[in-house]
Amino acid sequence: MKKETKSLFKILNLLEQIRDLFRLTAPDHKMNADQLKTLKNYLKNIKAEAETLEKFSYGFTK
Amino acid sequence: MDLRSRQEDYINLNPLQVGGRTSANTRLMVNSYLDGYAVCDQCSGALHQIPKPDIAGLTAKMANFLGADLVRFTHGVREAKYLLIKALLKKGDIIVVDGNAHYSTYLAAERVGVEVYSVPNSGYPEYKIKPSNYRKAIRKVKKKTGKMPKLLVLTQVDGQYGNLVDAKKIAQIAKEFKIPLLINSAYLAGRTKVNLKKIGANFIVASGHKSFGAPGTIGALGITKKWVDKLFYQSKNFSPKEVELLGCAARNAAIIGLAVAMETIEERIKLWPEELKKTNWLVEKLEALGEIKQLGEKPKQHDLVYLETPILDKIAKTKRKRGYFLAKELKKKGIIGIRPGLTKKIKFSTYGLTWPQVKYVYQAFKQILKEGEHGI
Repeated sequence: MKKETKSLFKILNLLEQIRDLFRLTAPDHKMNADQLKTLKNYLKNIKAEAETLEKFSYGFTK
Repeated sequence: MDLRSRQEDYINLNPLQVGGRTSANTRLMVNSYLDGYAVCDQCSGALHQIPKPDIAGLTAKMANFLGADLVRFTHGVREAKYLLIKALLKKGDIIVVDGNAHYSTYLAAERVGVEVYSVPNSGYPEYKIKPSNYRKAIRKVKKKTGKMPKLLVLTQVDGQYGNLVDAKKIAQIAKEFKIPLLINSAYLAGRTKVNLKKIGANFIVASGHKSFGAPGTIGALGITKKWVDKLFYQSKNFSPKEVELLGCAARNAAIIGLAVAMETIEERIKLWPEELKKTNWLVEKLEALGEIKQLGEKPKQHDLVYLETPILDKIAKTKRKRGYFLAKELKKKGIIGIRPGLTKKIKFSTYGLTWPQVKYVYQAFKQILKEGEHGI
């Protein structure tokens, strides 16, 4: 799989994991300390993968 | 069209939907196979033989899980039932089904012109199916028509009361009369393990989107090898296409979802005892609120709950929205899945909810009753 496609799917996977967190904590999405830590970790990883995509976009527009 | 956020923003108690909640991994993989015919990249003519994605592996795994010799995937249980009835029976044949059977069993029979005799349930309040009544029904059919039924059908867990029927006992009766038996395990297989051979029946149908945490819609028909020539026979002109499947049935992303769901099926079925604990806990607590009675067998052996709720009906009569007040009040509290308009009897399931969510549901009902009693 190409690097940028892998990043795309990793982001999609992390978003689906967040969706599961929302399902588990419905209806108010009040999360415990572990869940908040997990959410923060997901968001951190999304940012990291988004940076890969961003670098790719710079390369594509050159 | 709006995006659906019912599972994310609410606690969903809809008994039809709870067993089909998908995991993040399932959704990701399904997403990547959503395009038309994506499943068919490496197909050489038969869905169940596709190596990549590993549908061949899924087929074997499902056969093993269901205790069947062979499995084929359909678009759902109703399609699997119709396939079976159409392949084995002809117009004018008779089948015996349990009195709590799903309407699609009757429709499948009607479509083929097959007559249905049903085994009555025990009536209020348990609505149980007594296995020995199958014997009575078979004898009744013979006496009335001069013919023996050609098939017995058992809805292992029905969709109204959530009663679990002893399938082994009915299989023994089926053997006694030499009539094949179909087990409709839509509401059970996938929540827990169900084994066709251990039951002693001939066919089993299972639902991916009802009980395996797979997306809709995907069903499985499991059979013992004796029946392969009648059910899974290939076309004379278009081998290896199987005629009763019209060549290919579940060639969709749902089968991918089922494959992913099956990767963690052993962990899923380990949760079954805890699901029953949640169910029985909530039933006990709700009944203790007064004027609420659980219908069907007790204690519950399945998560589908049907309650008689005269107290809610009383409160409804004081409300401007009448019966719709309950669904409205529950939705305000972030709970959905109970059919709007109903207050005399309500049906729901807590399958897949966390314990805090189950307790939240109890508190919500408690508060609604309290507010209702005070005319709020």
